[in-house]
Amino acid sequence: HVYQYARGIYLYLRYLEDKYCIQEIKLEGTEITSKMRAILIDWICDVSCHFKLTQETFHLTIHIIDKYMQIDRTTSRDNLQLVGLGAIFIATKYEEVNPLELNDLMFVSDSAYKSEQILKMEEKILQSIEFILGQPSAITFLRRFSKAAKAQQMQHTFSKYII
Amino acid sequence: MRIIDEQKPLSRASRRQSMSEIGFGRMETYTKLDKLGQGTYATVFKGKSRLTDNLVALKEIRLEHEEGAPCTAIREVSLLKELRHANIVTLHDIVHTERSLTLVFEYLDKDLKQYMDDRGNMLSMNNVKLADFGLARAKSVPTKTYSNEVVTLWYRPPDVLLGSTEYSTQIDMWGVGCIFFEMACGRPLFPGSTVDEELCLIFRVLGCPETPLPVASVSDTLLSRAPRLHQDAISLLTCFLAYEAKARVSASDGMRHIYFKSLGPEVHLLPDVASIFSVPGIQLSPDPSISKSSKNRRLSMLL
Repeated sequence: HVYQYARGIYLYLRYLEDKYCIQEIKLEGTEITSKMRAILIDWICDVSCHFKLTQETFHLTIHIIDKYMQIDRTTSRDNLQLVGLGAIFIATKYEEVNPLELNDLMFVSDSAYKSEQILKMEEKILQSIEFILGQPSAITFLRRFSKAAKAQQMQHTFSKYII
Repeated sequence: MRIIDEQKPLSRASRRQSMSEIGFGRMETYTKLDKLGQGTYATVFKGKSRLTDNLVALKEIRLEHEEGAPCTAIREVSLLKELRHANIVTLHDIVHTERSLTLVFEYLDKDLKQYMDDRGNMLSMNNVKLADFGLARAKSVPTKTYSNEVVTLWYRPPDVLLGSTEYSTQIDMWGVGCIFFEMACGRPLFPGSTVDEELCLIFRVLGCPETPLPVASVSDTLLSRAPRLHQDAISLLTCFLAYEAKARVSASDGMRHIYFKSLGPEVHLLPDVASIFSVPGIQLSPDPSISKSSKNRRLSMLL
């Protein structure tokens, strides 16, 4: 069934990728440095391993963070982790069968923020990125390429690790 | 919205700024009129836009919910924003406040049932539109398993009723068959109120999954329940109602079924945003086989 539509689906995903891709991550003019972004992403990676989130969720979270940072230039150092929490909250709601709960987020951030702050951030992010969450990530295409190349499990997993 | 889109050189931020100056994204722009319906997580109101004076449907999602924006709302908005099609309801605007998330839709004056009932009185050229994407998710290749608590019970396919979570596009083709029957005879095909009852109703028509009834006998049962459907229509219906998901006809193959042949080849070339009634010669007409005096008079689906 779906193989009939596979071509169409991927053409559309390519179109979405072009339409919503982030050209360049611009942090100049904000309080955030690329090093801080890297630390945040490492932490997101830990969180997503801890809760066994899918790779799609992980990539979507980073995309949300980057996009939000392009639009809202006022994020302070202290609130960077809050942005991460809001992004991961939205990403799991979009992608996972069982999204994370506020309690989970409070736990992994050692209650650094109040639940109202996380909810407020969620609202702020959704408004900034205008609810656009459908853009594909590297992982979306990897699966297709691996299948086309008849990759073995190990090759596929290794590629996953690289991206 | 579109006018602004065309004056491209605006950046995203400044575009949003000017949209907001016009009144988009603000509740004051919309006047709430009658309540149209209430769902589990949203209430729908009829409304009017003060910008255009057009009627709109306001789907108000309450956010007092402890977990913030419901995932159904996030998915619905995100998907609808990318959809532009003559047969899909248009999302015009989103108003996001602390207490609620309101989706502003084009106003459709009838649901499918009312639409089918009223067609006897006027040959309307309105399009049927799909709405409510509360349980939708983005399509990709089937790799993950999802919840089996999906799809309104009456339109849920037997494999999912029996617990399958590995579904894909075929899940909807079962529902298409059920709706097709319902449009033709005005009552649902399998109106079960529990999962068990739903399965019993299905088994009665199709036989048990292990020993399915032959197509000819299924066709006879369906024909006796929907005498308005002729042979080609019954044949299409049985293609939708296959037990095995893989055996169900796909949407694109279904459109090439002999039942639709009388519409002519042009319908396959329609752009997404064009209505089927823009094809010359296609219009709704009364079904000659139904007597005008009949209380339940309906129009044929054969256009």
